Amino acid sequence: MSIEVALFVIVGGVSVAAAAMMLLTENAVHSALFLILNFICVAFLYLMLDAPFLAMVQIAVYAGAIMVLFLFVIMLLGAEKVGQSAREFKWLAPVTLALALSFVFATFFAFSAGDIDSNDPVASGDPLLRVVHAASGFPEAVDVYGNGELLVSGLELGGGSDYVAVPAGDYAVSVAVAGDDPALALPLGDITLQPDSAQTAVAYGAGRLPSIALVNEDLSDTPDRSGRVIVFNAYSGAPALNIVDPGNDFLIEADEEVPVIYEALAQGTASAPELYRQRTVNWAVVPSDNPDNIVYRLRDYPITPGETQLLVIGEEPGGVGEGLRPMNIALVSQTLASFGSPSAIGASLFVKYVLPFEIVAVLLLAAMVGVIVLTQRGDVKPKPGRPTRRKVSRPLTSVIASQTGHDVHDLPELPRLKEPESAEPVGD
Amino acid sequence: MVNTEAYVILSMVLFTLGSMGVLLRRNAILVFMSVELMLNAANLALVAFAKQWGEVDGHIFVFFVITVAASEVAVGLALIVAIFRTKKSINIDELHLMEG
Repeated sequence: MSIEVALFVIVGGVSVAAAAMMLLTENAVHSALFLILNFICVAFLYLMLDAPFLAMVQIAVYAGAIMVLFLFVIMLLGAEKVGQSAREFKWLAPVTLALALSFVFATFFAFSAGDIDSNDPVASGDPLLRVVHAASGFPEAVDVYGNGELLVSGLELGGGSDYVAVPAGDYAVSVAVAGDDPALALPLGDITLQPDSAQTAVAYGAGRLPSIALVNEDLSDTPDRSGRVIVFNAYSGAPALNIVDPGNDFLIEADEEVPVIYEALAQGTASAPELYRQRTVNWAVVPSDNPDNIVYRLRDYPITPGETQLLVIGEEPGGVGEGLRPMNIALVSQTLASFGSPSAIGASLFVKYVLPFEIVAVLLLAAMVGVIVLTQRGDVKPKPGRPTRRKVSRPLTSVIASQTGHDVHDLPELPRLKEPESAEPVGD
Repeated sequence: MVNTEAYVILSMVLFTLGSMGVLLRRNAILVFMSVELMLNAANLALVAFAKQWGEVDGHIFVFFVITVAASEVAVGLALIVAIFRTKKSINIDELHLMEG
């Protein structure tokens, strides 16, 4: 039995026991305390179900605010115990028990027949695809077609499109000069898109017919204060590239040891996604076979938390061989908030569920007004126009005497104030 | 990894206990607390299914249920206080306000 199952059995058992004790105790205060224990157990189960935010809301709102309200009303009314009265509905208890047992039996039957866990959620999300144009041999802006359908139009060299959601499956990708006849499109190659994935198709190559490669993106949440970087090598001037970190040095001496970040990245391949702490880096791109010759500097390149960057090392058009001028294309995308986190819930709540949110807010307002109306006492009406004053039943001297401890009987009789006939006590 | 089915069965047991409390207890405040227990059981099932399907919508629904439960408790307890003021009792069996 794994530790998770053991925790589930213990916490679930405590929650059921607390619920049963809530029903069985006579004292309402004890019932409320058992219900709080039950709520805390359920909050713990929420934590096990990847819902940390709801667990905190459960403890703060349910176990905190709502149960304090219950305890307050119980103690205000002195309703810890309800007097025993002759039960009018004597048939209610056995009927309830029979109903509960039949409900449990029916649902158990439904669960065993339905087999909830075999209904694995199908991977239903369409894959996200974006296209990067890094083919220096094809310098014009292009339209990109997949299976003859237009995917992206007007993509400049050195640019990347936004993500588009396309159905999963195989695509034969072809490109044509922007605005040109789709029939003239050059076939680049085939790509396969898996459901529920995010992928980038990079067109690269110095020749007139570009190649295409697919990069798997990772849009999941990054840990605190770190960003994710994927490097793609689209540079034609060397068979493979290293990316090194020479710090602020402009040159790498022949015998100098510099930390290597990525080693031997062949043309047309992408590195694995790596996480880096938030900072700016000064990386250098060197050919693998000639590691002292910096071909390109990534100067003050920022790594930002909460972002996934695809860094494409390519070249500008025009040059051939030694004359290649490298360039980089950095494509930054925000990572998705992780499941059940406050930001994921907030994003869903304020984008998809704004109207229900507003309706619930109005409901809360109506409840507040309703509570005020319900608890207002209808029989207290201040009588208008009549001056009200407190009736003084004792002369002032006796009050002073009782507070100071002197005997007033020795004093001479003082004239008493004449009280108005109609004076009434005010207040309750 | 605990099956979703286990969570749903636990939720069902809690729901049944809550409904028994609604039917059997005579203290009106206890009846309200049992309703809260039933709402909580439903929330637990919603969160379990949200985990199974990887959709955050279930969490949003739980959020709304908690909000509605809070307003329901406020109004319900105000009703109980108002009834206690006139009848001097919150025993369900003694409240026959609608009797002809």
